[in-house]
Amino acid sequence: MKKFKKTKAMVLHYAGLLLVSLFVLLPYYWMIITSVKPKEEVMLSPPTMIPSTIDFSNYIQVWKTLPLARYLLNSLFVASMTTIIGVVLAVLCGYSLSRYAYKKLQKGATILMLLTQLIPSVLPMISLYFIMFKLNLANTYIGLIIAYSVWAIPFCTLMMKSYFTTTIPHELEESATIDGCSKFGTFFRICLPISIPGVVATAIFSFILAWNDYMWASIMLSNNDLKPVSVGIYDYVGQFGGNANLALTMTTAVIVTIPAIILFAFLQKYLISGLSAGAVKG
Amino acid sequence: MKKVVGIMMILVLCVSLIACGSPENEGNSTGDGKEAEITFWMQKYGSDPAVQDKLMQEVTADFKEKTGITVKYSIIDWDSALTKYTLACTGGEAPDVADIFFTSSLIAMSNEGCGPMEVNDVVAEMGGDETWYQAGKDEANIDGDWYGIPWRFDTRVLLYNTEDFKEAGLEVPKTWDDLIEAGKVLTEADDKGNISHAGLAWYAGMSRFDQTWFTLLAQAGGQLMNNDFSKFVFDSPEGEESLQFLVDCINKEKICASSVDASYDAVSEFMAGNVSMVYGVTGETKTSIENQAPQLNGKFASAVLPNKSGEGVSSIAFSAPISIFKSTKNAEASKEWVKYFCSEEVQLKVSQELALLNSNINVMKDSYFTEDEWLKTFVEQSSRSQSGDMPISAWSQVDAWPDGPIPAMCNKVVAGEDIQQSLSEGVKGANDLIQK
Repeated sequence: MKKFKKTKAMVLHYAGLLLVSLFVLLPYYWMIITSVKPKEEVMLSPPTMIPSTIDFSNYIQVWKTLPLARYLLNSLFVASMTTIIGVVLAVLCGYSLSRYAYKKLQKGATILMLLTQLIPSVLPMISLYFIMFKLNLANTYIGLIIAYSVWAIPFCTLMMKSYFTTTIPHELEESATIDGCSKFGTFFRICLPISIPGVVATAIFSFILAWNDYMWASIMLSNNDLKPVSVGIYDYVGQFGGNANLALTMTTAVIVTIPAIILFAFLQKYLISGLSAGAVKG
Repeated sequence: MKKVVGIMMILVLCVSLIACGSPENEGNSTGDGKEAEITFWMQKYGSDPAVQDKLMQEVTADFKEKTGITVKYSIIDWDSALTKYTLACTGGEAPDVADIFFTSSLIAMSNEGCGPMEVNDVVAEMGGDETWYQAGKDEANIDGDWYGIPWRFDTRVLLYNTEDFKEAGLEVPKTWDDLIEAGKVLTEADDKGNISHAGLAWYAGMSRFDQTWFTLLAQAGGQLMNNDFSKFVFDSPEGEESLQFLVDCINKEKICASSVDASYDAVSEFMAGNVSMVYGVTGETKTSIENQAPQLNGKFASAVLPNKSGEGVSSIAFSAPISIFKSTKNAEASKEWVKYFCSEEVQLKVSQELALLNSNINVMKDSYFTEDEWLKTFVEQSSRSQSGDMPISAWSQVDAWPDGPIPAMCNKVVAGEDIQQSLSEGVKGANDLIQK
C-alpha cells in the first residue's frame, strides 16, 4: 500500500512536470518545426504538428537574406561588454553596500536601486536618448552599452548585495583580517572566489538583458552595420506587421536562441545556486 | 601579476569603448553638393531584405557615379520608424533625406531647424503636381507647400480564390449586394452554424478594422472630415450605413469570420484555404502567398473592390513622400538625390524590385504594371481611390492603433456595441484631439 502511494505520488509528480514542460516548450517546438517545414505546410490550417518532410534549406537561405553573422557579432559584442561593465560595477558596489555603508545610507541606496526597477523602461527612453544624442553616442556601440548598463547595474548590484550579505559569513573576513589581509585583499582573495555562483548568475542576467533587448537598440541605432540580432530579425516584418517569410523568421529565431541556450547549458548550475542563495536566509 | 592583469583589462575596456564611439560628424559637409556625403533612411520593403539592400547598393553606386555624391543609406524597421522620425523632428538624430509618413503630424511637431523641408522648387523641376496621384499629393502637399516627393503608393483590392469561384460558378462581385450573394454561396458552416469556410474576410490583422471601414465609408459616399479638414463628420448616415455593413457581414449575413480576435489574420486564413475572398489586401500580398503557400500559385487573383453602387470610388489609397530634413548640411546634394531617386526610371526599378506601387502616374503606366494580371487591378483601382490618411497634424493620434478614437470605435462596433453611440463617441474623441 505504501509502495503504491509512493508510486502514485511519483506518477502525479512526473505528469505535472510533463504538462508544464509541454506548455513551456510548445512555442519552441513550433519555432523549430516551422523552420524545417516545407513551404506548402507553413500556413496550413489546421497546422501540421509533424512536418511531412524535413527541409533544412531555410538554414542556408537565412544567411543569404540577412547579414546574420554581422548581427550576431554585434549582439555578442554589446552583450559581452554590458556583462563585463555590469558585473565589475555590481560586484564592487554590492560588496560595499553589504559590508561598509552606514545603515541609513545602505537602506537609502538599496531603495533607490529598487525604485529604478519599478520605472517602466520606456519612460526614461526619450531623455536618455537625447543625452546620448547630445554626447554623440546615439548611433554607437558605446551608447547602447551604456543604455543597457543603466538598466543592468542596479538589479545586478541588488543581486550581489544579497549574495554577499547572506552567503559569506563575517567571521571569514575577520579571520582574513587577523591573518593580516587588507580590505581589498579580503575582498579579492576570500570573498570574490567563493562568490563565483552569484557573479555568474549576475553575469547571465546582464548578458540576457542586453542580448534580448529590442527597444533601446531600435531607437538609438540607425546605422545598419551596428544592428544587433534582436532588431535585425525584424527585417522580415513589413509595414503592417505582415511577415512574408515566416519560416525564415523562425529559422533566424532558432539560430539566435542557440548562444543563449549554450550559455545556460554550461552555467546553469551556477545560475540556480546563485539565484537561490539567500532565499532561505533573512 | 594580478595588478598588471587588472590594469590591462581596464585598458582594454577603455580602448574598446573609445573605439566603438562614432566620429562627431559622419557626413562630409562641403555645402556645394559635390563630393558630398548624405544620409538616407528608408523603411523595409519587399519580402527579402537582401533584395532591398542590393537594390540600394546599386542605386547609390549609380548616383555616386553620376554626381560624385555618396549616399549612406539605412533601412529602418517599421516598428521604430515613427519614433525615429518623431525624434528627428524634435531635435534628435536626423538623416539628410528620408522616406517619411504622417507628413502633417511630423510638420506640426517640427521647429525651425528640424523636420521636413519645403521643396516646392524640386517639385516644379520634376513636372509639377500633375505628376502624381491625388493620394500622393495629399500626403506631400500641406497647405499649398510641398514637403516631399511622393513615391510609394498603396491601394487596396479584393483578393479571391479563383478555384472556389470557378467551382461555385460565380462572377467577381461588383457591388455590396453581389458581395453578400457570393459570400453566402462560398461560406460553409457546421450544424451549429459555426463557419468552417468563410466566403469573406475583412483585411484586418490584429483586429484592426479602421482601414476596412475607411474603405466602406468612401464606398458609401461618406467623408471622415469636412472639406476644409477642420472637423470630423463621420457620424453621418453614410458612417452608420458603412459600419452597419461591416458588422452585418459578420453577424447578420454570417459570411465573414473576422472578429475582435487579434490572432485572426485574414491572409493567413486565405493561405490556409479557409477563406475565399479577402477584402482590401495590399500589393505585397501576392509575394506573401507565393512564399508561404505555393500550393495556391495560379489559384488566386485580384479584383477591384466591390462598392455600394458598383461605380465610382471603391477604395482608399496611401502614399509617402521622400523628404529632406531641415537639419541637413547638404541641401543641394540632398535635392539631387531626391530628384534622382524619385525619377521615373529609378522608381520603376524600385517598384519592380520591392513589389511596390508608385505614386507617379507615368510609372504606373509602364507595361510592368498594366500587363501583369495581379498589378493591373491596382492600376485600375488607383483611379477609383481616395486618400486614406487625413492631412491634419493630429491624424497619427486619431488613427493610433489600438486606442485612437477611430480604431477603438471600429473595434467596439465589431464587438457588438451600439453603432450610433460608438459613432458619437468616435467623432467626439477625434474632434477633441483636433482641438488640443
